[in-house]
Amino acid sequence: MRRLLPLLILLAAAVALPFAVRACRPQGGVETAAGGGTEAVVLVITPHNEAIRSEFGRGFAAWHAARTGRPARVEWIVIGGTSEIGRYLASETASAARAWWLRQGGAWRAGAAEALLGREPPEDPDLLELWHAFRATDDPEAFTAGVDLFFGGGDFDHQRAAEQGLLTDPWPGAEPADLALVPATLGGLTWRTQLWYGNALSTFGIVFNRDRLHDLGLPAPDAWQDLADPRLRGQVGLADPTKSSSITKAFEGLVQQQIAEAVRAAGFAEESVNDCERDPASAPAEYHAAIARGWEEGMWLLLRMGANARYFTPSSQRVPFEVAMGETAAGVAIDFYGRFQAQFSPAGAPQRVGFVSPAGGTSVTCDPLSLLRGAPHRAAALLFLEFVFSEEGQRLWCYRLGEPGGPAQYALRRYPIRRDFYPSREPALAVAFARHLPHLSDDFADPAVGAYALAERFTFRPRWTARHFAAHRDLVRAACLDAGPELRAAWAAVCARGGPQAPANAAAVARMRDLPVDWNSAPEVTGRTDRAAYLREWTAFFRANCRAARALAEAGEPTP
Amino acid sequence: MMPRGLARCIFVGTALTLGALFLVPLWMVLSGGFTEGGSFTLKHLGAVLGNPIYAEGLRNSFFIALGVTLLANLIAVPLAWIADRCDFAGKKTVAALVLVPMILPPFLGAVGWQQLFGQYGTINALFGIERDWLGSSGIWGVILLEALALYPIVYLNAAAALANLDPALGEAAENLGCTGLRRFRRVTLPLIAPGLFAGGILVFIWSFTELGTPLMLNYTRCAPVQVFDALKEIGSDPTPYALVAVLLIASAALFAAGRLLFGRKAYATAGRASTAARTQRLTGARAALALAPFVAVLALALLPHLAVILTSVTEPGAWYRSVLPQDTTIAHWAEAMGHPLTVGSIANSLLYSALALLVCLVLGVAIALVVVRSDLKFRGALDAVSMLPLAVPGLVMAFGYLAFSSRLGNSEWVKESGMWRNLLDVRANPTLFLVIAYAVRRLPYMVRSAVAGLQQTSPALEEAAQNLGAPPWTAWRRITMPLIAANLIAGGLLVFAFSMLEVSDSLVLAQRQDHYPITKAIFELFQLLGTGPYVAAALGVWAMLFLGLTILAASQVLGRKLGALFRV
Repeated sequence: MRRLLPLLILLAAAVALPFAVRACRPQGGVETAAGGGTEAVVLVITPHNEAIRSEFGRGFAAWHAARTGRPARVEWIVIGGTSEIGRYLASETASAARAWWLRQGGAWRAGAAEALLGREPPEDPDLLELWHAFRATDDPEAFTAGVDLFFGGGDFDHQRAAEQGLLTDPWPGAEPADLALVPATLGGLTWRTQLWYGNALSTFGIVFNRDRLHDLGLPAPDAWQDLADPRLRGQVGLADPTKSSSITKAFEGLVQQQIAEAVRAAGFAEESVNDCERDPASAPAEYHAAIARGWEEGMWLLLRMGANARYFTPSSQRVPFEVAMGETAAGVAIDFYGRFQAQFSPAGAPQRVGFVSPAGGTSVTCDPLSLLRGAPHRAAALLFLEFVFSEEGQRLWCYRLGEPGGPAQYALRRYPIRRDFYPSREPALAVAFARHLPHLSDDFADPAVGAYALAERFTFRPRWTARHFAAHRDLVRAACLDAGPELRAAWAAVCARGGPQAPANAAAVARMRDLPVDWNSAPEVTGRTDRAAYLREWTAFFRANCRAARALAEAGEPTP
Repeated sequence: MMPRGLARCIFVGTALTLGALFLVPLWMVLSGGFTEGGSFTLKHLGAVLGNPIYAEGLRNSFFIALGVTLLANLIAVPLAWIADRCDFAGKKTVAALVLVPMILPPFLGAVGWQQLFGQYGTINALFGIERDWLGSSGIWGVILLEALALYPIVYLNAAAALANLDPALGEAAENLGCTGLRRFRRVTLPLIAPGLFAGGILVFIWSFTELGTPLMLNYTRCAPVQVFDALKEIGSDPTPYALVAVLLIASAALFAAGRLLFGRKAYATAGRASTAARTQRLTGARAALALAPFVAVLALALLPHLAVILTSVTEPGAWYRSVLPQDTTIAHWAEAMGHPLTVGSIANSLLYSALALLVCLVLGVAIALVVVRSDLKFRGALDAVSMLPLAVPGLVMAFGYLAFSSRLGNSEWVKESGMWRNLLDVRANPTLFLVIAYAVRRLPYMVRSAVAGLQQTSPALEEAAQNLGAPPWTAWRRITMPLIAANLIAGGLLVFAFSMLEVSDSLVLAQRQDHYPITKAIFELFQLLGTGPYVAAALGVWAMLFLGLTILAASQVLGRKLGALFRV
């Protein structure tokens, strides 16, 4: 017992520690508003982190109390990232709809769940009836996934949910006045539809460690091409486009930039590009050839970045964190993580980490919020939607910690979507911006930082890449993930012998950059239903080419 | 042998339980890999088998598993043997500490290794070099790090098996002139084989399907990473489910092969502990020599733990190109301990893990009884199925339970009753499903420990008690239970510790803050901008501390209660 007692005391102390600390600290929980009435509850499923949840939970409770005189609470449903949420909503809704359909005496055949959530109406008449009945019903008494709102993720994820019939129009009549401040599109990208509403903006940029770059003899990067430098081999952290639609969008921006450059190099100025895009059928053949060439350049750039990559990660904070540690020299990160890490430096080392949004290659996408079919608390959910687009809600994204009307516990440092938070030539908006500016965490007046300025500097030409979303994602997967070891081995051999520019490596590089599809055929191939089959073919293609490229490169003399 | 009627009853009961709690939810997810347009198809399976990168992934995983199992045995068996045979100053401490490497909290191990072996980490700073340790380690790095994390499983099982040995047999061998290594090889090894098999097969299947280490070392061409990559993809690709099925079949086959090769021959001894075990008291240089291997293994295996402890008190960014942190703070501890998530998550984890342990104990012992003490035809299949949860990726199982709960939650009788809703609908309260998930996923440890214990214990002892008039239950409670207690406690420790550290089910099933277990709290803290990993490290260290103290206290209790039986 003499030996056991100290252990038991220690064990008790360990258990007591968090309780004691918690008791000593001032409690910063959700304020319950004064005033009576039953508490309104809204169920929100989200991939957002604890900081965003805590601020929006607190903000909504206060806003709701001021607006209605009643307390309110957000119940967050947190199950992981967007891929888990997509799976969860589909499975919960299908399961509830099944019970509802069986209750009405309908038949539930094998494959009914698939048909129910299919984008196109099924051909089978029974399934068609189910498909229509499902999409015509929006009543929690009939079926519900037990969730009111889907908050965050990318527009791709919400668009997919919309096509599955999971979303419903929150304002079939008139939209709230605040939405007038949210453009439906900008720079060719959609920011809101009838079913989903962007409420914050995201960009991807390059986060880098100045010490590591200095050790490697490299300057600070400012364009995507810099991540393809052979000296960065094994030192680049990349987010995985197969697991995040936002990163695929970011890579799409990179490809668009390469096409724009190729088209410009072929002698087509902005004006003539506009003409060609208005009427592609009558555009000259050189124009189409330049697009195809630019697309291939874009893919080659992605392949080289992939060859330099130390990893492709599904976790958005791994890249900035490891760059800050010096474990990787540079990487692709979402803006707020990058900017935060760049300023979050220990005393004495203020310039350790930097972040840059590559000029002309940064697409500005939105983080939507959408109302789910069969929402159990529709009225409260509509109020939450309204809150997020109100000035009070938008301020939470970008105000400094502790500023009046700003976040109370965590600075979120994200881009709000409303126009009045950015510089504008319109007098009313400019006045509003001047009012916000002193409180902002980041200087949105700087055109290299402000999301609207970035969006305006980037022109998204839908025809160039909009049909290539799946192709970009799957080419990266086949070449850089599935055939990744072979790609990196070939790249190592090329880099050891003078790099991709060396004449001796011309044959090896030609093999490496060869693609199984071109700009024209890529969307056709990915449009085929059997994804596994073309992925297998592409992986085999890249593996064979990379092995051959490695052999070709190794036949040459290594250079020091 | 058990009466056949009783054996059949237990068999049917455990098989139904495993079917309902494991196979049904599993199939709810895996069926996605075997259907197209509502009808059964083997197309996706064919696609997986025909893809060379998956074949290569399976080969590499097999190689990793083989390497890890060998290395873990090479580390653990000599240590367990020394601890069993010798007594020396500091033995109690090192013998308990030797188990600590297995309690590394999720997400933080990578941070620990990077602080030490990163390009700007301790080792490079110490020696003034610029080596990319983690980026260049490849498959060998994976094997080494996994073996260092998993050898305690082998150690625990080996120690329990050695504790079960009848010292008289060793002495008899010695009397007949069989000494030293020869005695170990010819006498000890065959007698402790069930324990070694139990530890070995657990480590083998674990490392065959382990995800975290290869992800950290960016070694992507192995089956678990391929499954994870495909599962996490946006969209509804059937490939990962077909791939999981292949992984499961491969694991079951490897288990069966392993049992055929190593697990069959078990010598049960009747006279166990009839004489007190004789340990050799070492002093001076010989004691130091016995202590050295423990210290060496601990120094390596506890490195990431030490790094995580240091991280939890490091000013952000202050452990950078330096051997140790340049600036420390207790702010992360204050933040972690005082965070609204912390207190609730600790209480939740204790509850879920304790209940899971209870479920595991009942189910595990029941399965082991049928497997060892009956001659039923399909007992081998039951044994194999009870091992499979170890091979199923966490995310797959989590979505299986989600689908299962959702199916139940949408039935009228559940919807209308608050009690049933709280029990069966994870959206209302995930406790039941989390307990089931933890228990099922950790069941293999309990089954293997219990099987090993029963195999080493002769049924003659229980039969003798019954001959003397003890009813079967009393004979079981008073004779067999105490004899296999060492094994059950070893298994129980593994179940409890790994339940506390479980990730996938915790992340997916505990959807609301009130229900978060500690691993989800660590995950949430990890995500906070800037200080996240440091605050998460503080909570992680708390978890390590708690589990470490639990293990130490358990070994003290055991030491007192079971005397010579269990010397961990």
